[in-house]
Amino acid sequence: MAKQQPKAVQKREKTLGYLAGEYRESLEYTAELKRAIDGFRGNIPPNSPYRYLRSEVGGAILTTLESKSPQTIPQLIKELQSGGCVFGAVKTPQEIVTKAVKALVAIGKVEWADQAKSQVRLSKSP
Amino acid sequence: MVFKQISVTSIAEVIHNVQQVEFPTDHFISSQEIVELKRKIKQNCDVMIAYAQHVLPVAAKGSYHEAILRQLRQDVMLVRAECGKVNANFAGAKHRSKLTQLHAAYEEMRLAAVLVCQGAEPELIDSLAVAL
Repeated sequence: MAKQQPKAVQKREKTLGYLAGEYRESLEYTAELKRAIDGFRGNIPPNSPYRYLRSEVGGAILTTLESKSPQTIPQLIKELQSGGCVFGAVKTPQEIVTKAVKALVAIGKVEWADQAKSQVRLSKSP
Repeated sequence: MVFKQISVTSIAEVIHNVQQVEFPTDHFISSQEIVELKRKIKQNCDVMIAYAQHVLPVAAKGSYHEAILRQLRQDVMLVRAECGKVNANFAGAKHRSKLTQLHAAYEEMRLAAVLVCQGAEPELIDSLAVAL
């Protein structure tokens, strides 16, 4: 058992090195893909499942509210997820969208539609 | 004393310069752990402020991007304020609650950083969230 210890460590290090290399390559590939997408002019079609891929969360929320208003936070999350908005795996969409909505409210682009602050709509004042 | 000015111009540089912060879950926390935790948090705050200060002047006025950068700066200030309340002579429930408040403020800052990253370089969201 004691003899196998260094072998296990070696295997773990080798696997970790391999995974790190794969991760690094996938990051480079992702960056290349993004550059290629950014090379195209125009917008992604509004009915595409990736329509919010190039948008910030705030921009995607404003786009959604232009067509459907007012919306609750869960409705916004559903719409953004169906449009391929990038949220990552560490923070939840609930946290991200709520923070983005608060930032939009702070600059006056959207406002709460009810006193319970459960729904948001585009701000009436410019 | 010489003050070193940090220059951080991209999310990749932010990830390179920050240190991973883990809040202790044990009931007993040594003074050394508190000092180390505060050092890392202050270092991360400096990096986030440096990045926000670099990007803010070129952000469009009144835009969502500017709003979220200002929010990040505000959250960093709050973390610094909460960090100052936690001292190394750590004992008792009162200090424990201060550490909890610092943790909550730090999570808000991390969330604001994730939002900034989502707009600038979405492929690095998870890397940044883990690095912080």
